[in-house]
Amino acid sequence: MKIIKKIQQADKRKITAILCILLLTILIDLGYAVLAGTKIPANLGAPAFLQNPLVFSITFFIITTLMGIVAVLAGIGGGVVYTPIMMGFTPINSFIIRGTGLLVAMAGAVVAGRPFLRRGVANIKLLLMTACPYTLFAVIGALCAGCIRGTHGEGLIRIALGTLVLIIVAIFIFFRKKVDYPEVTRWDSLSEAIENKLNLSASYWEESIDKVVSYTPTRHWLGLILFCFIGFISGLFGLGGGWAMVPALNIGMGLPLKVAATCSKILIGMGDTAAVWAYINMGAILPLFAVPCTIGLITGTIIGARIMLKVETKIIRYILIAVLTASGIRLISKGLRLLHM
Amino acid sequence: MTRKMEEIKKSPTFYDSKEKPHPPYEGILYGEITFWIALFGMAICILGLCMSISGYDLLNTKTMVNELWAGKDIKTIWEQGNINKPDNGYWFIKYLPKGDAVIELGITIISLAAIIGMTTLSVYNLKKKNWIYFLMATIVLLIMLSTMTGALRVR
Repeated sequence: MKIIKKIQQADKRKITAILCILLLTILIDLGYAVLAGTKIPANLGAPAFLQNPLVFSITFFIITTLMGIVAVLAGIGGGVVYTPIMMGFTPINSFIIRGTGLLVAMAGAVVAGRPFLRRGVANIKLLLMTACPYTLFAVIGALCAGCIRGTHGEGLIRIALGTLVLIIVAIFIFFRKKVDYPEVTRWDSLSEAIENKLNLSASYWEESIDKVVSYTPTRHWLGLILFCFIGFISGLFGLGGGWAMVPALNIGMGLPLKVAATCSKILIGMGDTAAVWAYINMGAILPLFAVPCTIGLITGTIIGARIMLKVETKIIRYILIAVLTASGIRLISKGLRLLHM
Repeated sequence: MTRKMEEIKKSPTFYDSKEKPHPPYEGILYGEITFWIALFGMAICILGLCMSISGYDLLNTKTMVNELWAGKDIKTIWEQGNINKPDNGYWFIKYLPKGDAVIELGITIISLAAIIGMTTLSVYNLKKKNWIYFLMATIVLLIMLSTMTGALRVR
């Protein structure tokens, strides 16, 4: 009886949470629609206060710092927060936002990877193996982004990104299953052959349990296929790939969660470097816009990591889900308008 | 620690040990190199940002922000600064030491961090005669160099 009551209560809580998120999403969309209706027409330019370089830099620094803090507290990547929100709620050209989003994700990952490699939590051999498909397809995605430009391209990109954001939100709500130590007792013959050749097994010291954790990845072939897809999405949309990499490594390849999370961070730094150069060469990185955003997001993730244990993260997660849902809906509607539908 | 698959029955396994496992040296090397280069790049970016804010800039901020907010494309925004849309990542060299050019220098340094790190990994595995890992590191490095040099780009 107690168990049945607990299950019923858990379902009620989930339903209540989903309803609150929907309500918040509707409120955000309505609020933005009202603001848009009273907005100064685009041909009159940006608000006067933003035209001062100092104010412009500080404004975007503060906005991206808040994004970084919220992203860490909600357990989602900064790149996944930055690109959809900027594309959904600002009139800035999407190609510039995507290039900047990729730079932001890359720079943050490069800086954050050092302690994980020093402690041996991140597996450098596994990183080299997964970096090959991820980097190649991230570059292909970035080059495709350069080819798909113009009104129809913008429309398609926005619809695709909006759909992807809604899928990410759905994964975030319904499939949040992450296993700290996924148990693997069988390896298929292909995985065995790859493992015997590459020897990707590793060990690391887990401080929380005061033990050495030894692991061997499995389903390498699945990981390689998934990383092609994740790399392409990352390069095309300027999102960091962490939202997909962690489940791919954790659930797909059977790695401990900490190893999956740290490897994904470093892999973003490796793969997105190649993709970001494609955007740099195409002139998509505007210096005065890119730098405050990059520094802001990195600052935000550092602050977020420090306050994470002291803050109730559930409410922040719900708010972020609502904001992402709203930006996903806005992206799709903007895209449809651009395609004159 | 090399383990054959026949020896591995379950993953993960936990065991007590007084000695913590040594992290692989190439991982530490890669982490240190990328971190310090990226940090240096960020310092240059901040310096460039201060120079831009104080008025020593290339792209007029007021016009840039207006064009940005109007949703204009990159070609239009660069043109208003009387710069032909850069088709490579090194346009800033002839505009140094203007603020925007210094920022771009910093961004270039950050974007070089992983490339230099990967070069080190490649050389390390070559020296250690880990041929498969040397090959993988070299493949990733070649892809990075192709985009960095503009060999792979949209024309």
